Amino acid sequence: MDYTQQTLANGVTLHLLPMENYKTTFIGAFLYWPLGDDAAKTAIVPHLLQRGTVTYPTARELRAHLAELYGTQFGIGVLKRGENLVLQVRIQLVNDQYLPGNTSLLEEAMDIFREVLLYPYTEQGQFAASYVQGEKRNIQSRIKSLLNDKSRFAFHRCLQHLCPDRGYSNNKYGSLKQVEAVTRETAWQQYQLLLQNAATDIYVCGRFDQERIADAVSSRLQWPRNPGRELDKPLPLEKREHQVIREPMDISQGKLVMAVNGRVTQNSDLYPALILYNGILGGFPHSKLFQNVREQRGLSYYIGSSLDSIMGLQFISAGIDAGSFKETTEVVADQLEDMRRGNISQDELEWTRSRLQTGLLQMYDDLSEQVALAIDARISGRRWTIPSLIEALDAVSIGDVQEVAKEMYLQTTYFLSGGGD
Amino acid sequence: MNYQVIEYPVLGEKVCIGKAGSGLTCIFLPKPGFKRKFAILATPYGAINRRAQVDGEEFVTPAGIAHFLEHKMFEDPETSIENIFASYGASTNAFTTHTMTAYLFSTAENFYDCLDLLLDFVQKPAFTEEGVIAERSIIAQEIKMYRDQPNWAVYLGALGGMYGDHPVAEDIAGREEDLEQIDYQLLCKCHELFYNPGRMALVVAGDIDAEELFTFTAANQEKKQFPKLPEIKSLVPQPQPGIGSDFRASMEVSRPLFCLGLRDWPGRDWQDCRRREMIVSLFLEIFVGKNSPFYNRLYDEGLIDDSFGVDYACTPWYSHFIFGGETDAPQRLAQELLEEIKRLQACGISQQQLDVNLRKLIGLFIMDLNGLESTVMACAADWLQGGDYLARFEELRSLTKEDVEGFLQSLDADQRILSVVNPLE
Repeated sequence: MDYTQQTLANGVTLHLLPMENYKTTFIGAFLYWPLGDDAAKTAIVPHLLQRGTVTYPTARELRAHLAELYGTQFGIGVLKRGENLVLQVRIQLVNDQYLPGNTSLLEEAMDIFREVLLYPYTEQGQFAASYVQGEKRNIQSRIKSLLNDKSRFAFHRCLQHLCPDRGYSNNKYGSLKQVEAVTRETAWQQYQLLLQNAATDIYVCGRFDQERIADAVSSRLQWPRNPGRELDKPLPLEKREHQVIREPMDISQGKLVMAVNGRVTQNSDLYPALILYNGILGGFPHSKLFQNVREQRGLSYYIGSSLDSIMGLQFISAGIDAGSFKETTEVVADQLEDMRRGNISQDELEWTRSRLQTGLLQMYDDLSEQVALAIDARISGRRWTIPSLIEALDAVSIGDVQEVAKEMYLQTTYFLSGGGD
Repeated sequence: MNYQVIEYPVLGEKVCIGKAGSGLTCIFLPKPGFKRKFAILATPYGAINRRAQVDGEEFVTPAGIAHFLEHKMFEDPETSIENIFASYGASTNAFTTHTMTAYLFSTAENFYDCLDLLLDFVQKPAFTEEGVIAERSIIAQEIKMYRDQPNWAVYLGALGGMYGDHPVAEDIAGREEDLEQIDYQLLCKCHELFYNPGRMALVVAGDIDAEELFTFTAANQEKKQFPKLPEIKSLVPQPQPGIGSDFRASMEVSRPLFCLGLRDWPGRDWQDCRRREMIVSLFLEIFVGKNSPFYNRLYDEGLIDDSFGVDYACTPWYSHFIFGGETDAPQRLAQELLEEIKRLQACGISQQQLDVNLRKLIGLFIMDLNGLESTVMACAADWLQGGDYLARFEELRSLTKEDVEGFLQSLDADQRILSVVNPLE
């Protein structure tokens, strides 16, 4: 059995991805919405859905019923991908074959899934006031708690300096003020708006019977929608002059985040060269950054780079002493220059290629990574499958990597640290 | 190498287990259909094993040495271990806990090249005196990185309050001043003593042929010579009874971080520890799981949110709960948790609560088997302490209300410590 997809009567796409080595079935609904000024009232919606349904008005009743269904896992999530929010409602349950007796676990779990998504608990036709109050408070705490993790905090600050005028710099939950402004009415209206208009996918992955699942989904998940609102194409950030921002905080290890802007995204034919470029520069222990900054000079405990390939951005992160800022950034700049000049050894190229291809093969065994790949495809508008990427990586040359490197432009250097220098 | 096959038909799993001529135990979990292949080589030597009696003589080492040795095993002046793994397309890593050190790799191709390398680099140290000196500054950076993490500070605060200067309360990486006392000779000695194959386990999972795997591993071991297995008696001290004072610190955080530590009785032996862990997982679901009335009341009152969580550890030397999370009212939350334990001690639990949560744990156990890495790590950890991870399933299914209530009665809610990291003024 291979991956298949079909369109349900209301326009929602149902994706079926069998994984025979799994003992469970995963079902997830994904709603895509632009990350804009209405982020707060959008992001709160899944948090409200998890509080209760018509049949199970409280989270306790809902969770107790899920526990009875052999610990069926239920979760919600809000993900930021490019300049989009991805709202998630998902369940995962054990396949009947591992359970005593002939059960109808799938159908019972699907009933809950349907209720959570379509029939939330309401009072006077809206979300319950106490639930809205509680989730607003939790989300506000979550926004504030960014401060508790200095690396994430530094990353967020870097984004805010990188593109203050873009939705991309926003917290996925919106600002504290925007969260405060959410009311029962606005949250409920937004929920209706999302259900009717958001581009929506339903993913079923793992071990399942194809006919049984198609029946279980299509008989339960038909709600009236407007003809699909498609996602906006990702819009790259404008190129700007390099800026260096230093901010003080009383911490013993400084957090460095450097944002590198480029034009190559998942939508480009050069995408395989982009991931090789990132791997050679900073994706692995054998990469230039780790070797030159940590192994040769002992400047950091961690240093590496990662991509937001939807936006065409690269982020270099490191934990270093405040006094090592100058030396570290110089070494990083040298590595970027080496990449542009094509100073890349055959080993660096081949090891990185091999690591990336093995990583892709391993994704076959990982449900959440496969789902992440599918979400990216939806947002970027280009579907890179595991085999197509493995094949494309084979063809990338040092010249292709160099071509990507020439597009990459260091735009923001952000450093959070205590005293020193 | 001969090996034995154990079947777990209910779980749809089986395990092959054998012993190489070197004394190395090999455990294999066949995982047909999986692309990834995963191996871990582990020794029951961790951060708390700082003192031991070796062939009758006492051997004492600084804090952080097991972790330091783990770092240094990757050094090879001739080549780079990480790069060779990279050339095979594999990723490698290692970690040190309080009670074990483990080296691992994950790959989809070139499995036997990777396995050969893993066995060789862990069994033959190649690090140098200069490399040891250079490593101190890298580990010092690692220690600093953790020091900035308020979650880590509040957690160590709870351990310190429960155990004073016992090794379990020390940072696994040690302190910066400990690093200066760790030198080349000492690391070599530790390797010789604690990495003897007779003490270690290799655990492998993936779509691999068992016969070939065991033959290959036996051949790798036959090529090497090992010193005779030394007689080692671990001298982990018993922690002082009683509880220290509460911990308070101020850091750059948005609101208070809290840990409530609650000491429990050490296990009689590792088998008793494993059983206790299972009883406790059931007890915790009933007490403060997401479907418990208590959890939902605290959530509705805003005392806890999704950051709330619980850890339970049980060893023959120490055992404790650590409840942790962010809250605006640490004192009150601690009070609520302790009162609920006392209430359950007085009122008992219902059969219905037990049944529901037991079903939940049975489902979760099966779900966890999707993850190759987590299953292998659990198997390795259990085996090093003489246990069988997959056999836990049957034991879990047989747990009763009496088991949970018996455990509950043995808890002493006064053996508690509160650790709080407050925001700066």
